[in-house]
Formats: sequence, C-alpha cells, structure tokens
Amino acid sequence: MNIDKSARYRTSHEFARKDGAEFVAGISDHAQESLGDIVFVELPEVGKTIKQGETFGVVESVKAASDLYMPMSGRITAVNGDLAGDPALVNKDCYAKGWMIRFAPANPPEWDGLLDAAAYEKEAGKE
Amino acid sequence: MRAEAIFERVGSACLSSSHDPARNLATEEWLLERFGNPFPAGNSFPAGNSFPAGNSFPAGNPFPAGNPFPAGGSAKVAVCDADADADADAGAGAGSGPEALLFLYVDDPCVVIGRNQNPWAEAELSSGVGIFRRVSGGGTVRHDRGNINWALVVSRNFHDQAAELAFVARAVCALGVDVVPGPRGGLFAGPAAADPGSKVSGTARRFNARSVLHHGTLLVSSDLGRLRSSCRGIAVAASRALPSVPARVANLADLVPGLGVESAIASLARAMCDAVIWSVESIMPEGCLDAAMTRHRSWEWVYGETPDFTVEPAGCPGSVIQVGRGLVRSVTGPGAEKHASWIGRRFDPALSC
Repeated sequence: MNIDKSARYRTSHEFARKDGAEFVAGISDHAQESLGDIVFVELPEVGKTIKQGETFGVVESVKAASDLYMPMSGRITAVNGDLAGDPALVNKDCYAKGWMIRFAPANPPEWDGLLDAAAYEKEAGKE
Repeated sequence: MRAEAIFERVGSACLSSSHDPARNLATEEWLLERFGNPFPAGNSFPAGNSFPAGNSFPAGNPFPAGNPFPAGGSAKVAVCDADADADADAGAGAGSGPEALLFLYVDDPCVVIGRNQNPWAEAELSSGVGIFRRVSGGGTVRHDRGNINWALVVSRNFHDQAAELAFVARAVCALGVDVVPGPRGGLFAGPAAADPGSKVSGTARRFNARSVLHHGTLLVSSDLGRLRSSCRGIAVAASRALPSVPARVANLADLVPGLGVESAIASLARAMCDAVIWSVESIMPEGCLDAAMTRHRSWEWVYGETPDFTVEPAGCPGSVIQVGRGLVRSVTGPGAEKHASWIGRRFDPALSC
C-alpha cells in the first residue's frame, strides 16, 4: 500500500493534503486498489460548499460504485477535469495526477481530526 | 477464500415478502449502512439507538428452524442467525457478530439502472413500468415476479468477489442446474446445462466505508421478451454515463423443468444460511426506510442523478440539447433560438422541433 505521508485520511479512504491555503483531496492507494479499474468519476461543481462527511462525488469501478466523502468542510475551488476522459488516472497515480478536488477549508481545525498516515495505514491494513 | 468460507460467515439471512422495488432497494441500503456499525455482542443484527433498549432482537424464534418460509404472508421478512445462541451465551463485549448477511427479495415488474447510468438511454420509458436507480454500479436489469434478487452484505475486511460468486453459484447449483461464474461477475449456465453460456444472474457491488453490498438478479421464470423490450432507450449523442453490456439470458426454469420462484427461494436460503428465522419487522425500526423510499421514487434521484449527456432532438438535425443533472442546460444549432424556452426544464425525449 502506497501512502502519501504528507496527507491525512478518513476511514472511508479519502485523503486530504495541504496545498498553500487550500487542500487537495482524492482517494487513497488502498481504496483504488480495492475498487479495481475505475471507469467513472463524478465530481462536484466548482463553487459548491460541502460539509465534512457529506458526499462530494461518486466513483465506479467495474460494476462497483462508491460514494466519495468530503474529508473536511469546504468550498470546491477546482476539480480534476482530466478524470472525465481518463478515470484510470486514479488507479495510476491517486495522490498526484489522479487528484479529485481542491477546496478552501471552512473549518481548518477539522484537519486535526483526520487520521495521519501511520494511523490510516494501520486502519486500512485491517481490510 | 472459497465458497465454504463465505457460508461460515453468513450469520443472518432475510427474506422479503414485499414486492415494492423502492422498499426492497431501501432495505438493501439500510442493511448496508447498519452493517457498517459494530455489532453488539449477543445481537447478530446491527443494532442502534433506534431499537428498543435491551430488546433489539425479537424474543423467541417465531418460526421453526428448517422452515425458512412461514406459512401465510404475515411475516414480511425472515431472518436467520446461525450463531444466535452462541453469541447470546458469549455475553457482553464478546465477538463482533457475523461477517456477512443475506437478503432475498422479489420485485414487481420494474427496470433498475446502475448508479451512473442514463435512464433515457437504458430503458423503454413509455411502457409505464417503474424505473429505479440502484446505488450499486453496473448495467440495467429488469425485475419481475419471476426473478429472485439476492444481496450479500459483507464486511470490507472479508469481501471477496470471486468467493462470494462461487458461494452463490453453489447455492444455485443445488437447485439442480450447472451454473458457473463468468465475465463481469455474472453467473452463466455451465457446460452441463441445457443452454450453456446463457446468463442467469447479473451482479453489481456497492462499497461504503466499512462494508460491501454485493447483489444480483437470478432469472427463474422471468418474462424474457419484456426484459429485452424494456431495456432499450433513446440514442444519445455523447454521454458520460456507463452503458449496459447486453447478454443472452435464460431462465432457470427452462434449465430445471418445474422450478418455481417460491421453491427456489426456499432452497437458496437453505443452501446459503443455516436458517433460523426472524421477522424483519421486529428488527427494523418503524419508518426507517421512509426517506430512502421517497428518494427512490423521486425524479431527482432516478433522472436528476444522470451523468451529463447530449442528444439531438427529433426533427432537428444538427441541433444539440445538452443535459446536466436531468435538466436541459443548452440548445445549440438550428433549433437554438426557437427552443430557448427548453433551457432549465426537465429533459424529455419527446422534445422535438
């Protein structure tokens, strides 16, 4: 399992990573591996405000759908448009080219409540 | 992991006698969500605050073991729990409950599309048959009283698609037909069957944070003519939605003469779970499905969740309607000016110049 040590995680397998004043989020390597070949990614509209734990999108691998949960509350400032044409980027490079959303945090201390890389690795290792 | 291992993990089975697709889809989701929570010891079913304190499981066993079908129709759903006694003896704090449960149901005729599909492109909507969007991925299926829907809810820790398929295949084989897992997670008539290679079960999965819903159809005596004619929609120009992959299908009743839905359900339940039977009404809190059922019957869910697509309106060659979240977002080409009023309206395949 490949872990981005600078990111933090939800138990539902989304990651968030600080990028200047904003955050970038997507799904973990463990998640993309357990889902298999991703064929569809639906992302939110830019400008939308979504609370922590609410769904920000949907991902589908071959006949398996999963909701994507917002790791922290925030306003969507950008989405990865490349995923519409090439959803497999999530499989190939989930932390970089397969990023999903960028958001401006509404409540930055929520970051402290996310799992750090070591804790997430332990959690995901149970699966 | 093999089929036998799955059998040992299936701690509970439910049968629904409701034929309402919205209710049964909502029940699957409820089971998936509740299953994601840790089980209290002594309680094979996910309990929570919504259950009466100290009595989250019905006292006593309303149905005799070995008879998964209560006589009469009053018990809507039966739940079996192979480990109920052992769990009860283990006391508080022990064990985490079963790792899988089974739900079987039969719907009234309807078309069910996958989570990320386009209902207009997948279904014949003018036939008046109900159309539903399930939460799992995959393609379009038709349900009717001749089709059994099976659903396994499995902890993500133990989910194993191939083993679960083998487990279901084994239960179907016990009906007296050779079926084997095949492409795209389907079950197909095997070499020893009357119509080898025909598809009898289509499957799909839904992941949440802790558990997986792995479910499928099982054609016993479905109206295959209607199945084919209902799974046919309009042509769309460009679409992000996932298309269905049509297959040659067969009914189990054609492979096992005399097989009926009722007897098939009873046999499947026996093959998939050491049955002790409970009524789900005493387990599911009153009203717990209301919100999900309302969603399943709403335009916003069935149509509004359609991935963006474009279509050429009838009689307007060169014009393009762009549809987002089920609503017309733009009209371009020769019909643009004349039909500017369509913008913002719900898409309707009857829109024409």
